Amino acid sequence: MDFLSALRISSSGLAAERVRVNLASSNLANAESTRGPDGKPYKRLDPVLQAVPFGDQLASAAGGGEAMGVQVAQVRQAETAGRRVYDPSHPDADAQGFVTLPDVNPIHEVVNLMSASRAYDANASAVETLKTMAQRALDIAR
Amino acid sequence: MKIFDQTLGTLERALDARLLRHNVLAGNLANADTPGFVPREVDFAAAMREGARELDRAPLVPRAPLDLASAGHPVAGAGGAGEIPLASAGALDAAAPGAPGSPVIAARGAGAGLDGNAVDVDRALAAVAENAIQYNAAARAAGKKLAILRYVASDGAA
Repeated sequence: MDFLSALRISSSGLAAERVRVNLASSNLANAESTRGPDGKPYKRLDPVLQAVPFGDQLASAAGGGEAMGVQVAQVRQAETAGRRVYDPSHPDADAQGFVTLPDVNPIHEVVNLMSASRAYDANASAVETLKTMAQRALDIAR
Repeated sequence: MKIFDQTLGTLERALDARLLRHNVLAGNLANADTPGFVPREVDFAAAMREGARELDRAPLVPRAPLDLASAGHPVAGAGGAGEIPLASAGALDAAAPGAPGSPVIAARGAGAGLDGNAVDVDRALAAVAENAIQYNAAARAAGKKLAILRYVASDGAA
């Protein structure tokens, strides 16, 4: 357990929250995209976060792993069919005149964005605090 | 007469325990959005008693937890000047909070949200700040102690 491990734990949190922000932004930006990379309507993306016992092999052999880092285990693509809206003039409308839009709820995404941003700040603040602690530790020998 | 009394050893252990607590709290913050995550806390008194952080100082070769008592090492205060007693340092395979022997315990208080996550970001941030203050205080005390030793060693000239 040392300063660098605390730094890596916090940075794993920063990275995970950044993925959340990226995915929420992607969902928001594509709220109306009727053509995704596969030609079908865009599917909402959600990160699956997972706590990982922190530390490399050395740390776990020495009984580390009490403190947990975090990682994005996978990015899940929504399975929902999407919203069907009647709009015959739309180029991607089907024979009945319905367009399938992504199942993105902008409010949900914005709340996600805010939550991720707040959690990102919290991790950044933990890093900032760690820096003052390291400075004090260095001052011991001064 | 002892020049190196227990003060520095105790302060060193306090710093280790505070750093362990920072790691654990940072882990809670990192997992603020992990479903089902149970936040951890450090039982500071237990961490001080155990002095078990010695084991965490990354040995170059992975090793099994030490069994100091059966290995014939001096345990708990039997050492000479400045010796830090290492009580039961075994049972450190503590991946789960609350594993016996680990000073890392499940945090009490906050109830879990809908996703089973019980991390309270505000509380965790406050704990990080408080822990840092305590760490800095211990670090300052250690610095002062060394300054006194320096003063004595220089025969009061410094």
